Amino acid sequence: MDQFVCVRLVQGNAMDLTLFQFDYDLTFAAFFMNADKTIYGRFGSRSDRKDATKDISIEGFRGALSAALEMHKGYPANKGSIAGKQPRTPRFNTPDEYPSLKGKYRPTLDYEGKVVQSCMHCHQVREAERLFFRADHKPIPDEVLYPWPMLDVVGLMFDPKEKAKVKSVAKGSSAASAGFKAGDEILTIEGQPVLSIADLQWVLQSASQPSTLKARVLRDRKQIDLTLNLSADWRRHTDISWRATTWDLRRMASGGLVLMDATLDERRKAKLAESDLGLRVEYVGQYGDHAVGKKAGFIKDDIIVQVADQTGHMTESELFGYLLQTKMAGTRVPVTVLRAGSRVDLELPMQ
Amino acid sequence: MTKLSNTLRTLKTIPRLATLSVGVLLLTACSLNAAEDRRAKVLNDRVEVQASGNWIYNDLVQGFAEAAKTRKPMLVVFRCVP
Repeated sequence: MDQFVCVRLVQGNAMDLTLFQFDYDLTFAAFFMNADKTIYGRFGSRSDRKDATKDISIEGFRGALSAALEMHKGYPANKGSIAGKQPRTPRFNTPDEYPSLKGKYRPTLDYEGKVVQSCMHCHQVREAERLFFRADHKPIPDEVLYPWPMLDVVGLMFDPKEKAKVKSVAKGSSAASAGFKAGDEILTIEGQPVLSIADLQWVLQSASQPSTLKARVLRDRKQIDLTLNLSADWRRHTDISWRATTWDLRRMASGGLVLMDATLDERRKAKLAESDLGLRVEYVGQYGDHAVGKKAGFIKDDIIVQVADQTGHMTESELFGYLLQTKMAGTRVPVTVLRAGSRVDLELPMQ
Repeated sequence: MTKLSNTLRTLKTIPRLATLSVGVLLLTACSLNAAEDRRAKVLNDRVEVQASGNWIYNDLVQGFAEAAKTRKPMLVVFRCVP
């Protein structure tokens, strides 16, 4: 660590969005950089709200630090290989330029006064990005709705104790079709050297739909080139249910309902096939805009079997995507639920 | 009779109101305590990080200047007080 200049930032206020582009749902995110603002790599991944160790570890962080030091030694000769790691032009340069955040926070924290209340959280940037579209009655784009996909969306699971070592490959996935195997160490993707799983997420975040990504892996001491093909809707299979920012999506799309895929047993009792829509109401919001579902008549353990004309299987994340991209705020969506064996028709207001 | 029953009802209500008031007071006190705890955590965190001497606290400009001067790479961490 003493080989780095270490800077700890604790606020989203006045964050330079032209430079710091990362998964704003994270409570820990790191950048390895040069003093000239060139980014060597990123660290920080998460796919679970409670269990941070599922995706990151001290060992993995140590590996990323070592690789960043090597990259720094090779700089600027290696500048070409890390060109793809540099930030894209953002919609706004700082969070307070977003309409929903304008004038709400000062650039610095109020340490003498209400310091906690004066702090803009990073996740508020993501929320503001979504509100930018929703408030304007426009569909929320996939890359904003399903940000920073984890690699499980393409079928890759990683060992959190390593930089980017494949732990397992899901059968039938695009990663399996590309030829990835457990034990592969990903050296580069799209020509970018990989320091961590977050670097892979950066490439996915920047990828179009559909997309073809070139990867180089180390397997049995040999370097092998693989091609990963991503379908047009690959991003929509990302699970966003764990994200802090999904709280606000629940307000918009389900009026505060938390939905869970019905279990096999619940489906059997309800006579639903696995391919049918079957989302059980796990929780009903009780207050304010999060009680809209409750006021519309939904109760805990209702099983949603039809939303507008949709009757096919969807996860909560996929349903939110469907609603937030096709049903604008102010409209009412017909929903059918199963309750005590009977079908009940309700209307869910979109916000 | 009506007066008496009203009086009795009022008397019965008093303990309920008292319980409710105490409840509200306790909840308020708890949330004030929680807010105060969080404030203390934020302030203590700053003191501890600055005292460690290893980290530049919440000052990116200083970080860039230090990295340019020392020619070291930078590690920039976003981490609020959990």
